[in-house]
Formats: sequence, structure tokens, C-alpha cells
Amino acid sequence: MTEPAIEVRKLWKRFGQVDAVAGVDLDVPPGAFLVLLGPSGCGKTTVLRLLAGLEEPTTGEIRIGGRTVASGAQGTMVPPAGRGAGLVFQSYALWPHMTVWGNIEWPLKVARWSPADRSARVREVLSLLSIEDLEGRYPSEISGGQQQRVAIARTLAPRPRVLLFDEPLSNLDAKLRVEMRAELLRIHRATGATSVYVTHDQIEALALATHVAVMREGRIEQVAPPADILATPATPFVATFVGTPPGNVVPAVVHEGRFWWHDVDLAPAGGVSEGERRWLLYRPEQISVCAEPGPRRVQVTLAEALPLVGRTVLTCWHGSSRITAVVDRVVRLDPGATLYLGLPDAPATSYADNGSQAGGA
Amino acid sequence: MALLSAGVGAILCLLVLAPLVRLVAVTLTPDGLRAWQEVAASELSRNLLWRPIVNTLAIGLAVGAGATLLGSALAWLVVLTDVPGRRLIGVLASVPFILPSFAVALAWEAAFRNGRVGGHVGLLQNLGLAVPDWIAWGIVPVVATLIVHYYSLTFALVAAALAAVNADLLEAGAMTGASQARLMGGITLPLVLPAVVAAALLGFAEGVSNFAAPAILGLPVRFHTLSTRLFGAISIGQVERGYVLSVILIAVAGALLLVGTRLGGRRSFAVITGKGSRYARVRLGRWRWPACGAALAICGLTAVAPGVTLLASSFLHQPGAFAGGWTTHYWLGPSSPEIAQGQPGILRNPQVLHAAGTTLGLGAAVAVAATVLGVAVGYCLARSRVRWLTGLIAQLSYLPILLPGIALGAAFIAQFARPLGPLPPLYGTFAILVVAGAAYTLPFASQAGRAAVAQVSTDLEEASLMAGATLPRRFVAIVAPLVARGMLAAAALVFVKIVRDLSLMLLLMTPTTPLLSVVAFRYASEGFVQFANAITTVVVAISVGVTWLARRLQRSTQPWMDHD
Ligand SMILES: Nc1ncnc2c1ncn2[C@@H]1O[C@H](COP(=O)(O)OP(=O)(O)OP(=O)(O)O)[C@@H](O)[C@H]1O
Ligand SMILES: [Mg+2]
Repeated sequence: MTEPAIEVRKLWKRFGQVDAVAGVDLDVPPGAFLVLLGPSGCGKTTVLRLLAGLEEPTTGEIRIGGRTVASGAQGTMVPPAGRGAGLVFQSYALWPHMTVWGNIEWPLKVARWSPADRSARVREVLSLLSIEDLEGRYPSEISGGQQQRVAIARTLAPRPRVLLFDEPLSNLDAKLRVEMRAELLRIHRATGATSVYVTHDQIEALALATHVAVMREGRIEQVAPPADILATPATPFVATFVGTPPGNVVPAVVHEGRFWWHDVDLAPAGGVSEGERRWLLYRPEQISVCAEPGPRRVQVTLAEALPLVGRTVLTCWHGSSRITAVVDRVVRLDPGATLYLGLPDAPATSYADNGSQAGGA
Repeated sequence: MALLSAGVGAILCLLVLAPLVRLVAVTLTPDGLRAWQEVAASELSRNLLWRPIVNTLAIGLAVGAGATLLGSALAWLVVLTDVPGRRLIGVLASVPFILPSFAVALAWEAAFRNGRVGGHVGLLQNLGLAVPDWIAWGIVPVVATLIVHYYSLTFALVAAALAAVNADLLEAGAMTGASQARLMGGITLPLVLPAVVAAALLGFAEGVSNFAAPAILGLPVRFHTLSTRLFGAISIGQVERGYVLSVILIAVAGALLLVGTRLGGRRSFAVITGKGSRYARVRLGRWRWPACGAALAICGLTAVAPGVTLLASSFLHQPGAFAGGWTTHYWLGPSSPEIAQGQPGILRNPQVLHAAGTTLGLGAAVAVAATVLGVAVGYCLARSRVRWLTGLIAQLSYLPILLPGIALGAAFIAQFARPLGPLPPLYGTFAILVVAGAAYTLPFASQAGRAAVAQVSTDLEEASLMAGATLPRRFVAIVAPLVARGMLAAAALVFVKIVRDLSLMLLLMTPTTPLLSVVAFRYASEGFVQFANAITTVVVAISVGVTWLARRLQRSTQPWMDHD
């Protein structure tokens, strides 16, 4: 087994009273494209900045390429440039007083490359990103998408072993975003650099990642290849966060050997004892839509019906819990209509603990 | 709308353009042309023009460079480093600019005056230290006091620019492994260079224009600048010579500023995109405490020491001598023939009290006039579609920034000493002071007006237009209330500018309209130092107090203070 390119152990970062990162463990294999996915404020940027060396861990350890670059216990703190990592900022952070060429060249100058090597390398990355024509322009004279390319080129130029991206596509419009995703994949293949990529857009995550790490409140809930994250979410949070549409997690109580959700009898409880709680996952595509009440049918009010490539995504309310269902045809229903959602015989999976996440009423 | 713009344009022409045109015109009359010849090409020229102009330029350069270095260094410390006591340093560094420049000069005199010109001597000399002439008089103290005054302005400009730099840009630099020095030279400095250049030019122009410092610390030893020569010429009745010198002074101060704004305007580094992130401050390591000590010493000395020196020396029996004991006479004492030729303390002196009344009244009147005008200018610039008219308004409302106060004062005399159409001659009235004050503070007021009006979106007004409201109605009901808050702070700052002003009012004031700053200046030139210092202390207190109030109103004047 090869040594991980990045190893993170029990990483904590505290800002005043806030635990921005609260005990993260992570192994990223060489050449992997790891996407950190999570809701706003969950600590993704902070993890990235800790990896980059822009932030010092409160406790915990980071190793890059087998070398300890930051350790709360030993007080080791290798400065950003000593880590062989490059960071692409969300704001691009292009230096407005330097041309495109100057922006890409400056880090090489700082690293004392010879003029000949510098100019060869700048040319190389300019052509890798197909922005050769822009070399003489200033950042304010090129478009957002082009600025993005320059930012990536600048980061690639010193040949970092690790590439870090903080929501690099969030300032682009939808079409450019799709284009740049393909571009990023191509660059990843071309450079082979281990990449860590932060986003809260799960489409981006699923499209780019070899591995996805889902974060919540400073912790990592699950790390797995994208398909596994979708197929076997490890926690109710992951189940309700990932997927288009995401899964429904229903709180159930055991009564006389069966799971009940309010007055709906869901399924046999197996070995779970009387009065205990479980969180049951129902995938939207397992739920059927009916006109009449019946066993395992939940009465809901339709909030919206969204037609999507021959299917319809129905978002409904049961009291204050939201349930999403997907039906394989185009249905015409008015919001406000009363429906019955039929749940399958058994949930996709059940969780003993919802990790303090309120999974519905 | 067109009517409003035309009205505002006309008022600005009357206020700014007409006096300038008149000033130049007078120097082109036969008498004026003779004055040109005397000033520029006669045996008098050396003393009248060439030496003063060399002094003036030397002061301008030294003040521009000194104030920029000091102010920028402090701004860097406060905004980008982890120096302890940043907040306190920031607050103190903004004080000296609030003080009247004659306060700093008088304080310098109170501390460093030596026996060269006779009369009393300052604190140090009285304590037995021999103060050399070059510290007591001439270019060194003039430059030093002006740097004390204007570094504070540079600090504010550069600190604001530094705080506006997107932190990502610096972090991206740090990621490359560049040293602190390299980061500063390669990234930080180029980014704030436009602000630094603007600050330096302003420092230069202010150094060139200033009257109080050379008058107090230079005149007694015949050290002349253009502004003191100009004042001298007009006060002894050689009005045309004074006008000629005014034109030259305006050309010197204005030309560079004009060039500077052209240069600065070409390439400004707008922040490119996105949200900036929090920036790890530069760690000073073992330099933290020394830097803190040095910064606090500088700021403390410049912000607090002048006021304290003035206050203390106003309570001394004999000027500058602790040995003579303390007295409250110069504040409260009744007239007595033994002291100060029978002059009573300032709080009992009807002339001083009259001056206090006029000064406050003038400050208030100018504040109202300038604010109203400022909003009108801002409104025209934001809404009017008549291109040439808005261009004219923009230029004219900016123009007074290029005019040294004393030269503007001279221009107002040139314009208003005679009847103007149906108007009686305004010279000697309160009205001319108000008009001149409004012209002088116009750039500041209209900038505030523009900023305030910019916050009122066109939609709000269009909504009321849809409701059928007329322009005056819209202005009163929608625009005025929305800009009121911002303009209140601006009005307070205009008030301060006027209350502490010396150079503009000096030539315009007459005995019927005495002003505190001018009275203090007269007392100082006649050797009644304690009275001068006592009055100046009052002016300082008013300036600092009202500015503090204005800052509280604005809250957002110091964005770099919230940057952590
Ligand atoms: N310098 C700081 N000082 C104080 N709190 C901070 C600081 N940096 C981050 N935090 C807090 O730490 C938490 C995690 O922040 P972080 O920026 O890592 O979130 P994020 O996952 O990147 O969010 P987003 O998707 O909105 O960018 C937030 O609650 C944030 O307020
Ligand atoms: Mg973030």
C-alpha cells in the first residue's frame, strides 16, 4: 500500500469560541482528487487553509508527502511555500498591478528560477490553460473565466505536488462552470498532482472527485468515492445532503415490535427494543404517489412539482417535515393538492443515531 | 432638474470662478502689471519672490516626503501587523490633523523658543537647555510642525487604502514563499501606491500653502514663504503685489496636485472579484514591542503634547517659565495694570467673547451653507443629464482644493471689496466670511454630498415620481431625509474646519467680525503668549470635541479600525 500524499490526524482549529474544525482525520492517496463537500460554514475553507499553511492548527497534525508540516503538539509549522502546495483562491487573488505573464512569473522569481526556466515554464502553463494570447494583459482587462484560468496557471507554475482549490468556480456562470469542470479534470490528469477541492455544490463534487469527504460542523462525516457516498451514505446527514434530490430520513419510534412515524406503521423493527428511536432512510425514487390513503401511506401537501428529464420531482410537506419523491412520468398537479406518498416495505437503511441532526418532526 | 443644475452651476461660478478670474484680472491692469514686474523682475524680486519660493518649495517637498513616510509606516503597522495597541495608535494618529496648524506651531514655540529675537523664551530654554537657532526658528521647525499636522492625513489615506486591499492578494503572495520585505515591495506597495502618491502630493500642496507655521516660526527671523509674503504685502496695502503672489502661490500648489490627480486617475487598481478573506497579520516577532513603543511615542507626542503644552503654558505667570509660578489670570483674571498691559483673562475679555460668538456663528453658518450646497452639487452630479453642466459643476466644486486658503482670501478681497452689480461691497461683513468659508469647504462638502446622494437609489425617487411628486417635493420628502445622517457628520466637520481656520479668514476678517483663531494669532504676534495659548486651547477643545461627535455620527469613517 502506498503512503498517503496527505495525512491529517485529529485536526482542530478553534477561533475564539468557535470550533471551525473539530477533529478531522483524513488520508488522501497520491494523485487523488478529493472534494470537500459540506454546507456553508462547516469548516471547508479552514481545512484548506490549514493544509496550505495559512492557518496554524490548534491541535492535531498534518503530513504532506510523508513529512510533518504542521503539528499542534510539537509546535511544527512549515510555512506555506515549504509545503509544495499551491492554492487557487475563490477570489482568484490575481495581483492587479501585474500582467498575466507577471502574475504567473512572480512566484517563480521568488523561488529563484533562472530567467530561461521561468519563461519556458510560463509559456508551458499558458498553453496548458489555452491563454497564450492574454499574457500582456492586466487582470482587469480579461473576463472572469479567463481570470480563473490565469489563477490556475499561476498556481500550477511552480509544479506543486498538492493543489488546493477553494470554490474556484463559484464566481462563474453556469455554462462556464461546466466547461471549467472538464478543464480541471484534464489538468488533473496532465499534472497528476494530488488535489483537494472545496465546494458546496454537490454536482461539482460528484463530477470531479475520485473521493468525496462530506463535512458538517467541523467534522468529516464520510469519505468515499462518489458512487459509494450515493449508494451507502454513512450518516443521516450525508443521506439528506447528497443526491439530487437527496434522501428522506424519517424519525421512527419502536412500538410493539414495529417502527412508527406518528400514526404511520412503517416496518417491522427487527431486534430494536420497545420505545427506541431509529432514523430510517427512504430514497425519493422508492416512494410512490397515490391518490388514496392506505397502509404505509403518508398524507402530504404538495409544495412543488418539478419536471426533470421525463420525470417529476415532488416536494411535499407532512406537517413540518419535508419529503421528496421522484416519479417516472410527467405529472400535472397543483401546489397545495393533498396526496398520499406510499413508502416501500423496508427503508433503504436505518441509523441508530442522527448525530444531533433534526431529521424531521 | 435642468433649472436646479443651472442654479447650482451659477452659484459655483460666483463662488469659485468669479473671484479667481477677478484676481487674475486685477493683476493684468496697469497697476497689476507693474506689480508683476516688481515681484518677478526687479531688485526686490530676490526677497519678494525667489527666496520665498525656494523656501516654499523646500517646505512642500520636505513635508510631502516626511508626512508620507511617517503616515504610511504607521498605517502599515496599524492595518497589517500584529503590533500591540493598534487601536490606540490609530486613534491617536488621527488627532493631529484635527488640531489647527497654528496650535502645533504655537506649542512648538512655547517649548523651543530661544532668545534670538528677544522677548520671552520657551520651556526648554527656561529649564536651562540652550536651544539652537535652527531648532527654534526657520525651516526646520516649520517643516517639523507641518509634518506633525499632515502625517495624520497621510495616515488616514494610506490606512484606508491598505484596508481595502483584498487579503487574498497578500496570502497568494505568502503562498509563494516570498519574504515580508519582498511581499511589501512586490505586492502591498504597488497596490497602495496611488494612495501613497495622492497623499504625498496633498502633503506637498499643504506644505506649500500653509501660512500659520511659517508666520509663527519663520517671520520673526525673516524667514519668508510665498504665503507670508502675500500676507505681508496685502496687510501693508500693496494689494496688487499680494494678488500677484497669490496667483503664483495658486500656480505652485495647484499645478502639482492637478498633475497628480491626472496621473493617479489613469490606473487605479479596483479590487477584481469575490470576497476577501481574513488575513493573518504580519508577525513582528521581537519587534512587536519596540514598534509599539515607537509608534505610541510618536503619536502621543504629536497628538497629546501640543494640547498639553498649550494648556500648561496658558497657566504660567511668565511665558515659558515654571519658576514664575502658576496663575489663572490669563483665563479668568480681571484687568490689572501690572499684568499684560491691563488685559483681562480671556473669559472676561469682551473682545474675545465677541470673537467666540462670531466664530461659532460663522462655523454654524458655513456648515449649513456648505452642506446645502454640497447636497445640491451631489444631486446634480447624480441625476442631471446635461453633460457639460455636470462637468462644469464637478470641476468647480473640486477646484478650491487647489487653492491655498490665504490666496483664496485674497481672491475674495479682489472680488468683493467693491460693489458687485446690485450687491453692496461685502468686505468687512459677516456675509463675506460665510461665502468664503462655503467656497473653501466646498470640495469636502460636495464629496460628502455625492456620497450621501449615491446612497439614495434612483428607484426610490422614481417611485415618488410615479406618485406625481414634483422635484422640490421629492427633494424634501425623499432625498433630504435619506441624506441627512451622512450630511450631519459632514456639517460637523465643516464646522471644525472653519472654527480652526486661520489662513482663509486672516485677510477677510475686520475688527467688527473678530474670530478666535485670528485673535489668538494677533496675541501671539504681540507677545501675549498665554492669551494666545489659552484661546488656542479652546479652539483645540472645540475641534477635537466636534470631530469626535462627527466620527460617532459617521461610524464608518475608519473602516480599517474594524479590520481584525
Ligand atoms: N478567522 C476566523 N475567525 C473567527 N471565526 C472564523 C474564522 N474563520 C472561520 N471562522 C468560522 O469557522 C467556521 C468555518 O468557516 P469556514 O470558512 O471554514 O467555512 P466554509 O465551510 O468554508 O463555509 P463557506 O461554504 O461559506 O465558504 C465558520 O463558523 C466561521 O464563522
Ligand atoms: Mg469557504
